[in-house]
Amino acid sequence: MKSVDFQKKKTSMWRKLLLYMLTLVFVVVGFIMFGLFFVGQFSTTTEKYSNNLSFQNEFYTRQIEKFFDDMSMMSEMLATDSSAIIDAYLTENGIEFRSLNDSRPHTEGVQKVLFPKLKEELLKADASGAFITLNATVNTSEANSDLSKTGLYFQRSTLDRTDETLLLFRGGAELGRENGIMPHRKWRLEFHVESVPKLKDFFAKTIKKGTKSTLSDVFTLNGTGEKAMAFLTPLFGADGAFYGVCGFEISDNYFKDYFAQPTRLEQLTCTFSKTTASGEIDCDNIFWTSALGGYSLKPSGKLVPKKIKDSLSEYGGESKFVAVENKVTICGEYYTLVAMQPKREFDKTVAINVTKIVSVCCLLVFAAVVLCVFFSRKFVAPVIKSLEKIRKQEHAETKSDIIEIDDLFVYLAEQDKLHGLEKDQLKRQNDELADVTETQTHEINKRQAEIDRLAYSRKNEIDPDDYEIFKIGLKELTKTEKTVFDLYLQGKTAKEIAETLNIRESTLKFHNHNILEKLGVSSRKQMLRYATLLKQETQN
Amino acid sequence: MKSNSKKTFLSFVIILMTITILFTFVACNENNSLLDPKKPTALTMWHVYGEQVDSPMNAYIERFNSTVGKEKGVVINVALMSNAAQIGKKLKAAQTGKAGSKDMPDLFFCHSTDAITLGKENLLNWKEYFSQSELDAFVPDFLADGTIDDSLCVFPVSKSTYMLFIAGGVFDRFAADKNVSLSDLETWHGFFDVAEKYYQWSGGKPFCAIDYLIRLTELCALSDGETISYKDGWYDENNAAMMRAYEAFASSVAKGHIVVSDMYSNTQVMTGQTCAGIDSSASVLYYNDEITYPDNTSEKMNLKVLPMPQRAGKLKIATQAGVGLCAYKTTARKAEAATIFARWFTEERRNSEFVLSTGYMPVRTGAFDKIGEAAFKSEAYKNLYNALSTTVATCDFEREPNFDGYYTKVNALYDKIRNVQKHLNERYARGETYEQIVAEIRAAFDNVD
Repeated sequence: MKSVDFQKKKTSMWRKLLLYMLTLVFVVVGFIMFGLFFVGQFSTTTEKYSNNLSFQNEFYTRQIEKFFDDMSMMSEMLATDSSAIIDAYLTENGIEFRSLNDSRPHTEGVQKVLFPKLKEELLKADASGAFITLNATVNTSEANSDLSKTGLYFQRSTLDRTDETLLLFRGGAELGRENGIMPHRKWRLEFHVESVPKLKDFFAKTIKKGTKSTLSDVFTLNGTGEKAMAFLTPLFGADGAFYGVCGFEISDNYFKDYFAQPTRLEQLTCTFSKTTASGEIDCDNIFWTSALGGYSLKPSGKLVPKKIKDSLSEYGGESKFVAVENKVTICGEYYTLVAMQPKREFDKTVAINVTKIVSVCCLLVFAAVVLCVFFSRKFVAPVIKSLEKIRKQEHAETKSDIIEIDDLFVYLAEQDKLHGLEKDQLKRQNDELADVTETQTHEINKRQAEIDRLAYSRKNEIDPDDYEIFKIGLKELTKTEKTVFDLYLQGKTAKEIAETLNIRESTLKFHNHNILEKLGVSSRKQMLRYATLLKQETQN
Repeated sequence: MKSNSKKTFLSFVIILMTITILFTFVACNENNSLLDPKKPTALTMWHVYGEQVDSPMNAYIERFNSTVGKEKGVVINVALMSNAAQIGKKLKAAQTGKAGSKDMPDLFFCHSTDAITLGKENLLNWKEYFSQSELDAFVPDFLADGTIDDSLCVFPVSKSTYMLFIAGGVFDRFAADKNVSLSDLETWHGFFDVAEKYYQWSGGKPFCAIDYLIRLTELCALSDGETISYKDGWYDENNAAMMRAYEAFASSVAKGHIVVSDMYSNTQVMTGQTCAGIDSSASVLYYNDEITYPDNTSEKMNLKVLPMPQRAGKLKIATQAGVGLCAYKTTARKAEAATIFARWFTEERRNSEFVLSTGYMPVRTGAFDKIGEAAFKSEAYKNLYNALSTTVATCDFEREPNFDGYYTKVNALYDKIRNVQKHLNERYARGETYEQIVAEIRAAFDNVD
């Protein structure tokens, strides 16, 4: 199996460029992503829902608080004014409050004087109804008369707040007709105190002046399918006597219309319910509203909260919601305000966001890779092509689209020209050298012949002792001296040797002197004779 | 090298084009609907069903929103519940942009007269959204009632007619004392006779409160075979049979035997002012279960429902009343959404369920025959549908006049009659004669504004 040595692996110019480009792209994208993340552009769906719902719920909470503050004030004013009117009626007729019992003239009389005040206050208030329940009944001999109370109860006829048509829900029907307020289709003459939660409490115990207002639980308006809450404020006479209860009604349809939320959150539902220890919301006892001009489905069943993250919770029941909750205090009791959107929308948004991010990333990576491949190839292609031309020696007189390559072609063409000239010159020198060599060879051959002749003729004239001294002396020559000796053997002249070794002639003479002395010869001629002899011996 | 680059570039382009075509194909292949379940189209609605008592209609709308509406992408929001007269006024105010008026609703229930006022060009022509075979399933007269110049602007959802509602317990005591019976109320002659007897028996209380007195006189004239003619947006006084009928009612009013109701006759029955009321069949929904008297004593209503009296030996005629569904013309998407609701709401079974819970007649051909099989939610409803069955079986139905301004004049006339009947005792005490009062009521008819 062939092993791969990464360290020594070489890559092509294109691969290297591609790698750099991809690295650059990913680094830049990484920085951009980091920057976007840093400035919060990559906040999660949970955070977005949490922020949006929190903002919406804050707005809704402020609306609710203001609404009940205003209602509390209006109710107090109604109580104060109504008490004064009752006091005036009692004084005028010289009767005590309890004289209203069993007296049709007085129950109708007191209703008559309260009638305009109640109408005026209802038309001023943001409420679907207003009422004054007096602690008296027109007929004490009726069964359960202690639960039946005289009074007046008006309701708005429609949700249209510009429409001042009112209906008489409780009170004298004839009085209503005379004053242009027709009896409600489910009219009754008197109040049944058990029909409104907490109302009975006011009449069942001794109430002292200073008793605070309260908000009733959700109840169904008698004879109808409509749900409502009542804001109850006790009525006291100037002497502190308890006269009854007055206040305002908020029907669920009125609440839904009045608190419709201006928002861009789709399928927003805002609930209003009494806070429970478990945090659960019983949808049968809540008021709710939706987006203004928008839509949302009515929450149903029991909604159980479960924390998701930060302020965001999941409310599960028959339907699931993601929600943000707030708490407000109304008349000393806690109420939970929840702004919610369907969980399936939330889940869908999460899925869509993940898909979007993954798709965009894939697309970006794909595009980056394709573009890098394309542009790197595009960039490297002319370089490769030019190199190929150079390799094939076809670059002369050709042009590319790249200035640097064209310059290189020009440079290479000039170099080629110079090389041509040098080549010619070298050829000429070669020819000259060949002539010289031939001449010199001829000279050498001639000299060799002479040497051979001399060697032959002088062989017997050579003193063997001197020749031995010569051979010993040859070994004692220094490196320079040996070089000079060899050059002499090659037939070089003293001048040539000095030039070859780049020494002065005086230096050469010094070497000559040393060589002759070490070889035990008296002249260069004798030295060359012994050397020739030695060469012949060696060759033989 | 060059060819490689080209190949890569081409591959890139082809992939991009494939993705684009795929998306386009998926988007176009859904269907031709303009609706999107992910972005539901919200329609506001004003309706007349069950004002003051929380409406069965609201329950149907919730059911629609959570089922078909959710599936198709339509949500209905009820923005107003009121009576037909109020809705007519508010529609006009909304259309003209009167200060403080609500926005024009997308869907609303109104009379044909109100639809004419709004302008048929501003309303959806349901014929363009329902096939002829679908429309053939509806009672032709009901379709004709909502047609304005060949445009079906008011879609029939439910129709009502007039019924005679009687406080059973009171009537039983009276009947026992005066030897009268419910069968005496089958004819107008018997009705006026019983009314007189009741007036005497009760110590001067009117027997019956009538919501639509002028229409009753018109029906009497029609039963005489008279073709009603109109002049200047009102009845021509040359309608002899009608004037005779009007005299009969005026006479009874002048004697205090009957009254034009203050607003709804049932409120006068529940307060013990009258023993009976002639009202729309739909008022069964609003009848209180008790009569309460000024001394706070009460008794059970024990409601009995009879067909409206007829003229003996004459044609039996009943009115065909009731609002229909209109859609304000805005966008094609809203038109489609409105059609989905109209189609869903008028499906045979659902339509029967709805009318049974609200006291109306169903609008599909043959649907009335199947009502007998259904269970009624109370004895009063059973009485009502028995009476309705008799009416459907024995009477010809006649449409109400639908020209512009008709109800304004009708209401003006009723106000004048109410003013007369309010001070009746005082006037007799002052020495005014019965003839003078009848003449005044007649003059009110002639000089209605």
